[in-house]
Amino acid sequence: MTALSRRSPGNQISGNRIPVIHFRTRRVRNAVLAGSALLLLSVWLAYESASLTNPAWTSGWVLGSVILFLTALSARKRLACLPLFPVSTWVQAHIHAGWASVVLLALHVGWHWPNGVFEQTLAALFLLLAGSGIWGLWLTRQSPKQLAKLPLEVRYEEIRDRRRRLDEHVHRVVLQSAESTGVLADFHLEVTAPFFGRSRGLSYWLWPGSATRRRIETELSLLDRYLTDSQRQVAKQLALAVRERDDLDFHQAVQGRLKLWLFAHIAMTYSLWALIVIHVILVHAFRGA
Amino acid sequence: MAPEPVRSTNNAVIQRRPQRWSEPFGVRMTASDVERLLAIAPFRSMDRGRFPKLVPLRGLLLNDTRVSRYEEGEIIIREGDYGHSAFLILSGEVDVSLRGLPPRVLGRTSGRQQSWWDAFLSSVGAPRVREARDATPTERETVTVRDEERGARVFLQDVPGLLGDDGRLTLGAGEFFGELAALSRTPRTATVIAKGPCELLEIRWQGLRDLLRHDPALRSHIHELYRSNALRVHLRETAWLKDLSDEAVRQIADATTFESYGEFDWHHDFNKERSLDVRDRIATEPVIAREGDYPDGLILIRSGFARLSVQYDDGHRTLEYLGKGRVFGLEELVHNHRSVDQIPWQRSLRALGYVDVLRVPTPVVERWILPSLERSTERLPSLDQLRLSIESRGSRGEATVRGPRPSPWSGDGEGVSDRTEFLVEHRLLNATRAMVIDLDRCTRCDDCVRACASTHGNNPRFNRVGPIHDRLMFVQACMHCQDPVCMIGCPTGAIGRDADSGVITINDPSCIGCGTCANSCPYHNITMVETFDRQGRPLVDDATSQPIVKATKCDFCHGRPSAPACQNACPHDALVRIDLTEPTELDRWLSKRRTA
Repeated sequence: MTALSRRSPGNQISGNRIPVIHFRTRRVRNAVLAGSALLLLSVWLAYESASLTNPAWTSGWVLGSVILFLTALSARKRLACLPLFPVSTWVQAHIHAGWASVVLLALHVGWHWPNGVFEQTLAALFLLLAGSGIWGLWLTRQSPKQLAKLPLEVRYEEIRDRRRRLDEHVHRVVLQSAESTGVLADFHLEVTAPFFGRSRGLSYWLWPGSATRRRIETELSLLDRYLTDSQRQVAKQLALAVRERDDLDFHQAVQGRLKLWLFAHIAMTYSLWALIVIHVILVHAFRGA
Repeated sequence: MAPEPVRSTNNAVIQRRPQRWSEPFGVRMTASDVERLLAIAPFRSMDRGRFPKLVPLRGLLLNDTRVSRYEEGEIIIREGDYGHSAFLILSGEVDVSLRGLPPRVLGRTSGRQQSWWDAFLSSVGAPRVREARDATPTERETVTVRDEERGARVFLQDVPGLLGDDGRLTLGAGEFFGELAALSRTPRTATVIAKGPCELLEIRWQGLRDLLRHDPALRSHIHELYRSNALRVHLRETAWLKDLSDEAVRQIADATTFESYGEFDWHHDFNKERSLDVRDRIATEPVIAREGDYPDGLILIRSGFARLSVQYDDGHRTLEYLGKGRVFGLEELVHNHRSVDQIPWQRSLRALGYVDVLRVPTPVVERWILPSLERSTERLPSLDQLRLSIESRGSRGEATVRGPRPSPWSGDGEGVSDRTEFLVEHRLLNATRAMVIDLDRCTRCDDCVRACASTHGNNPRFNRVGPIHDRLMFVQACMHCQDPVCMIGCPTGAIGRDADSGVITINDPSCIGCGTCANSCPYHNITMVETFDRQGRPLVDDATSQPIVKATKCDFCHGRPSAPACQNACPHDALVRIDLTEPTELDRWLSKRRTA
């Protein structure tokens, strides 16, 4: 329609018009902000160093504040109804502050690997946490795309129940066909029953894929020449069930992996905080030395 | 009135199925009131033989109307409120306010706003019991200006001083008002105040609809009222007609015809029709303008939605949907006005659900509208533009489909590939605040559901399920429809639209748990829940021993400091509450994220 006809008279129910910022623009803006902050801090630390002041105090406290801000994300998530900027804004800030914190750590330790065992443990845990953050960022960007490709959308809590119902359905279908054909019954006993009965291994959880499903589908298609038309319908149902089960497993693995990552990331954060507190106490205790 | 038990067995009470008039509009209406009404205009002149046996005129008056008396200064209807009834003045006079009045003057209090502290407490200390209510019901909120049960009324002091002589229009005995909002489910456009003691006949929309259907004189009278009152305002409010002279507006208003298409209760058949094949479904939609026919006038959509489509081989391809305020046919009329080569309609316009349109005849458009538009700075649309638009929209459908993900939902299989087509088929175009999730970014963390639960007494108002198209999930959460059919038939007025925000809310103390709204919602977005006290004990009706149920749905976190919680809680910008009544809004949202 034309621009003319788009205009509507008054008394219109106002919908929810949302401001939209292009993701790329947002990314660039946030990176520039984080980079500028780091640059300013570097200049200040260089000034402190030139003034014969230990810059580690400033960088340490700034780093601690940044880690505190990074930790505050989980608190913000719990307070969804407060107008403290949307959680997505906090996540963006979390990502960029996370990158910046790695550079801050380098500034704090003077671009050298620390020499004390405790400091080494602290730095290693920090880097592990940062690495986990990077992996999590990759996961949160890739996993939705992987899941969206599936023809099935399912909530994590429903997977177990749907899988149970699918198992029962397959069992029923194969039992009904067993009177007329032993081929499918044998195939079920040897191939599909173990597939439906077992959980996937660790490797599948780490890198879920469709190789097993494709193998079963190929084997099932090879039985085609032994089957009558009605038995082929049963085989088709079996193939559909295999595909659905595979999709459910994929959902469980990908969604579960995300949940596990978040749990590990938060656990490491609190472990890091325990070490940071000890570090601060030690630093202040031995300040004179 | 509850249905009387006929007989009972050990296991069940057998009742007569409730009929249309089981719940009369006015419980105090008597046969003598009806006789009195039948003796006055317009009912006196109505041909009773035109009314079907099941819906006789006498029955209509007895069950679908009520007589109310108002005192001087009392507000009868309030601008912005949703009304489901029209009024006929039996005696006395009323003033119609021609200018908007401040909400405070109208007795409208903005709903209780939750404080930050309360919001904080509700987030961190979710109650153990879901759907917990106080065992003693709290005071009802005033949802209308007049509460018949409690006798609560709102009065205006010094109406002449408030409105002035030129700010009000006085109506007298025999005149109608409020019919437009009642019939089109739109907000009241003006406040009406009793000028002195007056007696009014209030007719609920179901009765008014039947009266109009069976009495052509009343129908033309109501149309004439609309023509003389609201139509000119409507034309004046239409931005591209703002430069017209008063004479032109008068001429256009006099020549405009009113047309209604589709069923007013479209939601009853919606889910049944969805099971039909797309082609059959389109064939059942009433045609407002057919491709290939002579363009006999400019069509303005007054309320509802219409499908804009072109013939594509043996079927129809949806180009767009048009809602309230949109115009159809300008391109063809401009072309025919400028050229000797006359063309027919290039597209078809079909009613989706119930649509009210205004048709301005072609000669009137050519005489009064086109010259004015040609003088304005706005460039008039050309036929080439129209054809380009049809072609580009046709191909856009293919371009926006990004993946071969078949939807698990019935009714959107083969042949429905375009997003517009999908929105139309699922009637999602009705949404002013649809919840849309971009599955390409959603990690399925359910933070949205948790946030909803934490702001709504530990029970989320939606589940993350819904129809999927082009990797977008249209979640089954209240969409706060432009045409909120859920409001039809609520016996207590518990469900209503907030005049300020446009959000549809349920006033919990007023809800009697009848389930009418839940049954009316064609999208199944209202849930009836059993209620408990703070200790977790179920609340049970003392008369029936049945659980006390309440209607619940998304309230868009109305009254909370930051709304909506679901959108605010999404860590990955995957979820948005978006207006789908304007097709470009979703395109705009997607265009800025999917190229990232």
